Amino acid sequence: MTNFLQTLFNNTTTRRGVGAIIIFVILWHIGSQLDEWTGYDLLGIGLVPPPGDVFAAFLEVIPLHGYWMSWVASFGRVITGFLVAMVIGIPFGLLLAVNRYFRGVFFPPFEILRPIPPLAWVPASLIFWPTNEMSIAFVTFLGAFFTIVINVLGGARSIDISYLRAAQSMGASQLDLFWKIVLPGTLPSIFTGAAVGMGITWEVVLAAEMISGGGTQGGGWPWLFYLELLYGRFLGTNSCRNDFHWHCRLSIVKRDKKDRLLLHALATFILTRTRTQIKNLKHSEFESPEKSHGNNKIKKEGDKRSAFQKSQQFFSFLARREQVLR
Amino acid sequence: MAKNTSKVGKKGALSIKNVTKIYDPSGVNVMAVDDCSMEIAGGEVCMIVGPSGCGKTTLLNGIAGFHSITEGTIHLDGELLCGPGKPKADQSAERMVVFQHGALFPWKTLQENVAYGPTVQKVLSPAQATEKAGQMLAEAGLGNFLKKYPGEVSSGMARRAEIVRALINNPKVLLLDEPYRAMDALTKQIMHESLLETYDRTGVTIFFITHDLEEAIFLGDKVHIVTTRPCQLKKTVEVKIPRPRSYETQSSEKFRKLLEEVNDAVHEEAVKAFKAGEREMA
Amino acid sequence: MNSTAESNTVAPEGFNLFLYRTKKHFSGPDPYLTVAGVFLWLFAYWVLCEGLQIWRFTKLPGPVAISKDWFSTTPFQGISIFTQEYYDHIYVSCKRILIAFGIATGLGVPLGLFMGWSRSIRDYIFPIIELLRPIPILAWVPLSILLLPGFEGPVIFLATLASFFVTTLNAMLGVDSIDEEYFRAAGCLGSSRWDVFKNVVVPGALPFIFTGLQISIGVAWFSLVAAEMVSGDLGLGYLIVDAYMNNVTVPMVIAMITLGFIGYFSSACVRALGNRLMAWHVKELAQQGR
Repeated sequence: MTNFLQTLFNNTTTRRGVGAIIIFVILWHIGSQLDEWTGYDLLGIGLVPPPGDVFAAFLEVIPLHGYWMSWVASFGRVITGFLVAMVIGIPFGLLLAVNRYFRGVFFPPFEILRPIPPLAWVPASLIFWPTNEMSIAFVTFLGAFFTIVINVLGGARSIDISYLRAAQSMGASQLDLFWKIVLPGTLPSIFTGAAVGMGITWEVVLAAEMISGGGTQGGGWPWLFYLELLYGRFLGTNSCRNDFHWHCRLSIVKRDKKDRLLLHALATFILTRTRTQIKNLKHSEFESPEKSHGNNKIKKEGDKRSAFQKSQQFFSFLARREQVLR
Repeated sequence: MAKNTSKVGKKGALSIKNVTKIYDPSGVNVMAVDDCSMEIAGGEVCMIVGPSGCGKTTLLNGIAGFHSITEGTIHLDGELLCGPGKPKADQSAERMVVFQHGALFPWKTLQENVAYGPTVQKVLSPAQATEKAGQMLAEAGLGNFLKKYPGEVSSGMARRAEIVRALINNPKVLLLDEPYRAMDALTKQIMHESLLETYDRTGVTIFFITHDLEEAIFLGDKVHIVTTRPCQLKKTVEVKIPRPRSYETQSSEKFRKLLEEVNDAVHEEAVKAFKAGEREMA
Repeated sequence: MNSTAESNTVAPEGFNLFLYRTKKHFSGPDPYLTVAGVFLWLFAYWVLCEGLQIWRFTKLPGPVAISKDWFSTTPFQGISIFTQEYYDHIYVSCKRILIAFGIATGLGVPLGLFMGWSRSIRDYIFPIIELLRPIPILAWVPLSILLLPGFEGPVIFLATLASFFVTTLNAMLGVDSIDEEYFRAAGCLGSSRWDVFKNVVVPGALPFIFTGLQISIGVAWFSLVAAEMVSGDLGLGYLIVDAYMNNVTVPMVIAMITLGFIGYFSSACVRALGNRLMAWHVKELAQQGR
């Protein structure tokens, strides 16, 4: 073991890499503490929790049931969407590659739909599919599907024509050509497509969960997720919550710095997310927040209070919105 | 011809003494060149023949300064290129390499490629370099292809342009690493004639690596036959066929005798290399 | 036509070449199949939504409803090609993409090139990029809201970040893909280190850079839409979510289709720019019959 570590650290690349990461964490820490130490806040970096807090918060999350349930939920969605995309996408891509008429009819519509970002499908699929789970899985499926099809198509079409000719000269039938040449020849691209598709799936599932509300009230309350993220958990959790109470628990957790952070973010969030959306609700309640640049305690206190009021308004708005949706 | 510099200057004498190169990737010693010595006079066409993978290219890389050498010395015109205390030669425009797979920059036109050397060395202004490149390409019969990219012309033309790119820098030595390997026999013939014509015009020293024995005898003043790995000088055959040579030379009695002589020496090594290859595989 | 006449025929150029290609294109079945395919799909969509009114499909607007609203001067659900609002959303989204893509390219390409070119730069920066890259873009949302003031800042930041990683990595891989012999040839010809960078590293990496930029603009749209949906105040992504919140489905679909067209158009622009800058590469591929 020591031997292994020794050889590892004799390698310049590893040494520099580890060094770079350590420097990055130190800079992060300095940045997040800058406000407290010097009173100057660089671009709001002071609002980011320091790495130590993030790690502590992460340890705090690990024993929670809801955290692991969120893993299960997200993995379930990713795997469902991904498998369905593979099952439909691979034959579809192969058919596009081998049959000219099939390609002529199906490829143009496919190309029209492909540039639409998968997330733009979220609301439509929320409307169309009966359950939230199904709509998230559908969007996940879309994310992987287009990539897989394009890769399979490209792979199948790049097969060297001389293989096909060789097989034909040995008397292979069309079906033989497909099973013995086209399919094995496409396998590498299928795996490439699957790997890339898997990456996109994770990206999409997270976004879809945030936008659709991750199976909570089904109304699109991504900010429940924000609360979790705000506590610095985003490095450890890449999945969503479907346990509403857990969010409430989180939002009650109080620590001085984190509290300020949470309230500030809530206030900012209300303004960005809902400014135009809730014209019909009391628009005047929401004013632009003053950024807490000040270094004297009194100003901070005042800021906190106003931010706190805003978060009160925010929760009352939440409740009203809930009623509207029902 | 005004440009004829004749072979009076005789610059570019290479002296390779006791060169050894050991590759040592992760503890596996591979001796590519072992105690290899040869003398190449200025303005000579020196052909290196040997079985594939024997370490000829390693020797060339040592001269060009792409690799370090483990032991021995290499001198060019009495000047030390590399030796004890200086394992790796500096890369310099006095030793121009023409690569096995061709290394014209595919993103520059033939003219830009040829003008590149003098421009970056700041020997000529970009405009002058471009003009001279155009002239030299035209002399090599590529006047109609100045604005073409290497990907658009035949491999023979690209190779000819690459030699022009080397020659525009007035090198002392031209190092060619199997430049005509992937060409068909007919194109090769034309390329040989073009190279001989270029040689007659410039008198540059040529260090030419090949497997093709006929090519070696047809082009060379001396043919150095090297052993299979590790590479050592086995035999030197002097080709006393007068220049200018034409393809008719290849059917002469003298030519066939030389070919036989070279073939005897090489065949033995080739068999050894083949057997060694079989052992390695098994 | 006899053989002498044929040998005198010059290859068509310019407009004639375009005409020749068009003619050739329409002599095959492909364009007709394309039209047939698009219509078949539209028809299927119409049958499901409006013709037979199959369960669940009735919740979505059919092609007739969409086109009626889209091309009407008085759209029933608020968005059509005649309303200013529609163009406002498009303008805002495009502006954000331009800024984000510009920043990501301006930072990512040089950084990637330097990372490919210099071992030590790569050793120091690559681990940090690899550490940050797997974090899903949306996980950056709260952080970006904290870090950057205003509405535009976070949205543009998210789109930039996503395409930055893609661009950087592809530029770096592009340098890796350059054949060692070009570096050797450049060294032989007497280049300084800077000459090598300008004349070998940059042009040699261009094909990969443009592949990267194609992906990057797609990713930029992806994250822009995500960011607009979560925290925007204008833009096509916002239009989709806004329509959804207000229970109007037609603007939602219009925004989706518009996104599709603009997304396609933007990657076509990148492709065209790439082909223009890499004439040598295009011709090389054409010679290989691709």
